[in-house]
Order: sequence, then structure tokens, then C-alpha cells
Amino acid sequence: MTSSPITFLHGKLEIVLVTYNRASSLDSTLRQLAASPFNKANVTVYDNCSTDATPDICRKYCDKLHFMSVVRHEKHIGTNAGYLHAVENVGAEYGWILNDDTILDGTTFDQLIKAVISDSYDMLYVGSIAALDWHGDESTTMAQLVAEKARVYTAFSLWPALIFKTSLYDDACIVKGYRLANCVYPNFPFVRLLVEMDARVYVSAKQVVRTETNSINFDGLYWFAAWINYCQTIKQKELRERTIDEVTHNYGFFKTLVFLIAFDETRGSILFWSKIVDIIWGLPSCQRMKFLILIPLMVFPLPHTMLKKMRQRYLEEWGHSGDVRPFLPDAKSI
Amino acid sequence: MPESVLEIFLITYNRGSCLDDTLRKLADSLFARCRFTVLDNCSTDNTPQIAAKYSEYFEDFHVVRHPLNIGGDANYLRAVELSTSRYTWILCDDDFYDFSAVDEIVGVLQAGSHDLVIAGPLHPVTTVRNCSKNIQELVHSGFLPHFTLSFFPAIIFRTELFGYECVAKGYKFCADCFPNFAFINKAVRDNFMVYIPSAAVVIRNDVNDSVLSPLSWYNGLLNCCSSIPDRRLRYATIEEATRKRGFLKSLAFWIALERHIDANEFYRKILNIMAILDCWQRMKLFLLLPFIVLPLPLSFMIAMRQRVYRFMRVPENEIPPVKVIDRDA
Repeated sequence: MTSSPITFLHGKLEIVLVTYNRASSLDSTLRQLAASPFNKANVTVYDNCSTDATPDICRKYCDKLHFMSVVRHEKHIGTNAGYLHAVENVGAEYGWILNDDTILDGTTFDQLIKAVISDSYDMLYVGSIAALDWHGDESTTMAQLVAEKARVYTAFSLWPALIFKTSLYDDACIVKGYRLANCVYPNFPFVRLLVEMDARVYVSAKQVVRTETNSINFDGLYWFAAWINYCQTIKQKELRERTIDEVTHNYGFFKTLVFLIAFDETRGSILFWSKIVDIIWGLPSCQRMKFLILIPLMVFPLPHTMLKKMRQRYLEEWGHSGDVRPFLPDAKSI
Repeated sequence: MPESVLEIFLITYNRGSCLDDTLRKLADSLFARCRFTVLDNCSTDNTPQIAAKYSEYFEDFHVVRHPLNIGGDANYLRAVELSTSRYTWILCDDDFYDFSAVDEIVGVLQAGSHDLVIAGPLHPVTTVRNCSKNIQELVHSGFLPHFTLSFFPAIIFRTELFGYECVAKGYKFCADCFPNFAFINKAVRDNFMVYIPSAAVVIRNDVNDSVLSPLSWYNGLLNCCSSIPDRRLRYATIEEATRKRGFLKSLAFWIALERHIDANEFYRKILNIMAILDCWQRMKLFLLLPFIVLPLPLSFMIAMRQRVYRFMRVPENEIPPVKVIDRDA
């Protein structure tokens, strides 16, 4: 590959790292970037007010990355708000928001850079092809992806997997990102916009980004309720119902829900019931019937020993399989 | 002098003339000496010109313009994040001011012995003024902290106390438009020392319509209230929302109006409200079932609404218009 396309990256692509208190992961992510052709792109690190060695690590890479800047928040504002803040401030034509623990696979960088420079895409997908349920290295459109039943909403929820055209990420997507469903999935409104405008999409030949800890740091039922809440904004009925299904697709509706309800930490409180209302409201009618069967489980708690056994079984079964991680509560909660 | 301890932010979006009025009032006050930052939410009107005009009237005046509109709640939290002084005060662009109690407030801020100064109106209004107490004491005497403090300009707070956990949790309350709820919960939990001056400095301007329909607002308030750990306080706060006109009257009106102005997710809001209300109120809400199921004609509703406002002695020209909300699903 000639060096000329790479120099064009400056001003074309801005890579943003959102980090909080994970200096060593940040170090390895920055090292990968510095060694890649992306070291000529604009790189911005948003330090979410870390208390560890993060500032030193950033300083170390200032001369290795050609166009690097560091912004430190005065206060820790949380990961999801940090993401939206980063999106708001992207200056280049394309934005790529990475986490501090992203692992990059460099074998397809050349194709990716060509695709970015060609300027013919609204969005480039660089995440897991399996999660999307699709084949790679192809230019396509959102309508085509949706028509062929690719799992777009699940796959695009991992934000390092998206390289987006900055001009498309408008006010409405940001405001809705903050407002909808407690900011659990801040880029959902943007993905919805891409679907509605039938964006031109490039799917990379291989998975470029991998994230170590895709763990969810709030409880599963809360997350599920939020997901359903987001899905309500999808206009087409068929796509909406399919998207709701995507989450429970791997382990079955009953199995997942029984687990989530049994392990919910807020059981019996108002918070719990308002989540249940959200879920009942949002489910398609046949699933709503199924969900209502679970009412006894919501009202009567399961015995401690049974919970313990259940958790053990699920750990064994779900432990290291698939892309969609099961929502496992901490051991201390039972 | 206040400038050594207090920093003021003003959040604004597309209300140039209101901003002009507000800045003119503040420029004449003692607060013109403080570090003053206008957070312009990427307004599309003449806001930047108006803000620029005032830089000579304030001693330490800044304007930050966001690259995109991030919404009022996120803008509020951005202000919290940016503050570096000992105390912070976040203002909106359309309220009324009364500077008669400014000297006592400045005195209290300089002494630095209080965590919160309440600059807005109190709920209930009978709460004793001109005193310093801790929040628990106030709550025992019937004070409703969530109702009083959720009005953004009502609090001048010690900046370090609005820490990251309140900001990060605050973003989760943005969905319901109460981004400082997490901070208020902390204030009650940690029993903050509060000063209540002899008069309110900021008086809420109710004329400018909110972006939410009444039922959505109520639903949001209830969602937030479900995070109040103390059961008694939770239901007292919920009750305060409908105290003025009574629970049944308010809800009947809001429910009937809702179908016309914001038909989105109507039943979900009702179900959610049902889930959060206490038993007694839930039963009362069941009485409204005919209202919930059968819609009333809009013209009838508006006529009713006009009557209620007249009954409350609101002058004709101050009645907020009924706005049909199109939220783009």
C-alpha cells in the first residue's frame, strides 16, 4: 500500500478513546494505535477524571501519535455520557469512538482506510460479523441488512464497532441519546436514524475491534427493560418485534427471563414493578402472554439454595460461549 | 465578596430575548462580580450576540457554546462538571429575580459553613425562613426537599458535594427531566446543612411552556420519586405534585388532555403511574378509568382548562398555550 492515502487520514478520521481508571488497558490500546497506520489520524483521549496513572500514559504517547490531544473532564461523568460528550466534539469527517480496552486486529486496516477515504459510506461497521449475522467486506445499505435479517441493533450497540459520518450524528440523536431509557444505550437513536435514512454501510472483511469487558454494570432486568423501551421507537412493526427478540434469541425467552427475574436485586420494590410495567408494555402480544405466566416468580421469591444451584448451572452453560454475554449478577448478591 | 467563593452558570437555548432580560438583571446585582459562564446549547437565534454584549458588564464573563444541542438536562450536568469554585449556582434563562436577600447569602457563602443555600421558593410555603438547619430536621417539620430543590436555580451548592456519583446518576434521570435528583437524594441521606434566606432570590417563571405534557411530567416525577428510599418522604413528594388542585381533578384533567397533546405511549404512562402510586391513590386512579378509556373532545378540554386557570386567578394573557407535541415517535 502506498503511503499517500494514510496522510489523507488527518482531518478525515478522528479516533476517540474514552477512558476511566484503566491505565494499563489504555496503554496497550494506544500502543496498538501508534503502531498502526492510524497514527496519522486525529486521536483524542477523553479522560473521565481518572485517579490513576492515565495522564502519564497519555503524555507518553503524545509524540508517537501525530495528532493527539487529551481532554480531561473535571468530574467523572459516567461511561455513556462520556460517549455522547465525545461524539458531540468530533471535528473530523468521520468519528470512531473506542473504549480503553479495545483490541485492534490490523490485518484489514488497508481495506478499511481505503473505505474511509473513498468517502462513499455513511457508516463503516468493524465489529463482529457473527454478531451481525452477515458476511464481510462488502458495501451494502441498511435496508438490505434489515431485509436479510441481520441483527443490526444488537451488533451496532457496541460503539467501537461503528465508524460514523460525523455530520449525520445530529442534535436529535444526542438529545435522545441522553433522554431515552436512562441513557443505557446512548447510540440507539443514531442507529435508528441510519436505518430510517437507509444509510450506505461498509462491513469490514474481518472483525477489527474486540472488547475485553463487554460486561454490563447494571442489573440484567433493568437492561432488558431499557432495551424494550428503546425498541418502542422503531417504527416498522416487524423489525421492532425482531429486535426485541434479538436479546433473548440465544438462550430462549423463558430461560433468560426466569433468570433475570430470579436474580433481580430490586425485587419487591417499586423500581422492580416499574421495570415489569415497561417490559409488559413493550413486548409483542404473544410474548406478553408468556411473560404473564412468570408472575408467580415475580411475587414469590425462590429459596436461596435453589438460586445458588441455578446460578452455578448458568455459569457453566453460559460461561464462555457466544458473543452475547449473559447477564450474570455478582456472587455477593446471592 | 462573593467572587472568591461563588461561580455562576446560566444554561440557555434559543431564547435570546429572555436571556437579554436575565443578564440585564444580573448585571446590576452583586453577582456580576462572580465568575459567570453562559452555556449556550448551540442556539440558532441571536443568543451569541446577546451574550457577547454583556461581557463588559460582568467582571469575569465567559461563553461556552456546545457544538451540538445536547438538551437542557445534559447542559445542567455539564455546568456542574465545569465548575471549579467552592460554591456553584446554575441559573436558567427565563426567571424573575429579587435581590433583597443577597447580602445574607453572600455572608453565608463566605463563612462556608453550609452545604446548600436555598435561593428559590419553598415547598410547602409555610416552611420557616431565615434559618440554618440540617435537612433531616427540615424534613421532620414537613419540608419537601425534592420538590424545593429540583428547580435548577433554587440551589447554591457546595461544588465538591455534587460529586461524580451524582453526575453519573444524574444522566440516568435525564429521561425524566430531573437531572439533580441524585444530588437531592444525597443531600437527604448525608443530612446537608442548609441555609434558608429571608426571601427567595429566584422566582420561577411558569409562563414559558415546558417541553413535556403534564402527564409525561407527572410520570417522570414519579419515576424519579421511586428512587427516594424513605417511603414517607416519597409519598409526600408525590402528593405535593397534585396538592394544588387535588389528586382526582389534576389527574382527570391531565389524562384527558394527554390524548390530544401527546398520544405517545399513553397506556404505558398510566400503567407506570399505577405501579408507583401508593395503594390509596391507586384506587382513586381506578375511579378515573372511564376517562382513561374514553377520550373527551379537545375543545371541551380547552374550555375546562380555561375555567381552571380563571378559577386560579391567572390573568388571561399569562395562560400558557396548549401545544400539541410531535415527538417524532
